[in-house]
Amino acid sequence: MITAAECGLAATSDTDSERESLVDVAELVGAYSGLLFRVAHSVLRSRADAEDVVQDVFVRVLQRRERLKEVREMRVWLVRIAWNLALDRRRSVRPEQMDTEFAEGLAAKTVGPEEMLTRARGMEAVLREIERLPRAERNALLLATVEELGTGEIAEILKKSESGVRALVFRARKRLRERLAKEG
Amino acid sequence: MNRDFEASNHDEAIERTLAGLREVEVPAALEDRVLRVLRGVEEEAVSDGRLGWFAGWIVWAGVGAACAAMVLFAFTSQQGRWVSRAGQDGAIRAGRTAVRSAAATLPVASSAAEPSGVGSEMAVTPVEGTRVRVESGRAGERVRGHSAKGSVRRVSMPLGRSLPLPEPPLTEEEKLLQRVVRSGNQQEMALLNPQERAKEEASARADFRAFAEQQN
Repeated sequence: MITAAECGLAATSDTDSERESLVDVAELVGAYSGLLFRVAHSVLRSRADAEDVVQDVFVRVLQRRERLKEVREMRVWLVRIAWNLALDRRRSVRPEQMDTEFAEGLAAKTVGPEEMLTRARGMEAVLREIERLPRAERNALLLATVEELGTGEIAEILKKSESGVRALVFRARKRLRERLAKEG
Repeated sequence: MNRDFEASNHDEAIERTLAGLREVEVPAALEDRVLRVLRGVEEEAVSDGRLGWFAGWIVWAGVGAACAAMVLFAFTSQQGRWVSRAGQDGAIRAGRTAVRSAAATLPVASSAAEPSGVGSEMAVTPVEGTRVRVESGRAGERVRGHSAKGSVRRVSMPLGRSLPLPEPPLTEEEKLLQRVVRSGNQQEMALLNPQERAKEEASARADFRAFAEQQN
């Protein structure tokens, strides 16, 4: 693990305010990179793409570091940037292509090779149906999977009320179950 | 019963999938990678800023050098014009002096009424007159040439690329002097001397009076 000082972030700035803002950015990387990775990964299901999104988030933050002091809720602000960047990337990278690999990897961790394929197919079907959900429901469900985010924060990111988010998550789960049952 | 089993299987699949998304492992080197990228971005921004400053400095230095060169060129060309003009004036003065001295040293040109003895002297004078004319011409050329060279050297010294200005045209007086000297007419050359011209005029008046008295 390299620190901000080792990175030279603090040494390259000219003024104290710039140095402070660079240190701030380095601190943000340490505090939020995991959360942002999970948010991006829930949309993209690709580790490499999720890493790229996290990197892009902090590059943008660095480029707009003078606005850092204006941000009231840093965590929500960063997640919203990551969320939007992940959705942008989703247009060029189809998550369905990654679902097989992701589901097989996930199943391989919990069961033996005999059951692994069956369980992987089940997970793949869930992920496929998640993609087919209405956009608002899908977004609410995916953000709700990120443990660190509360309903209030999700509501702020999606610009909806907390009760609206709860309703969206409930409807998404229900619809998912129904569609999976219909598929058999 | 079978439907309940399937439903519980679907719920289980949903929960497992969502848990898989929730518990995805964050790459260990993610923070390092991001910090390295940020350092690169920052260094690039700093170098761009420095480059911009350096480029601006170069542009302003170039503008300053160009202004200095223009001022220097204007100054030296003006100085060269002064030097050249001074040299030309000196050459003209020297030429005039030479022509005057040549005219002064010429043998006295005889008038039409002078005896043939003088004419025998005149037969010699064209040779001397020619010599004088050539000398005067050479003197003028030499002086003028020297002055021109000097002016070129003086002009070319500061910048090494200024050209001497062309010589100004001769005045009407100088042209007349040049024509008279080149023609080799001793009588006309002699008349250039005011004393000789006065003598000549007095002699002509005396001849006219003598002729008029004879008529009366």
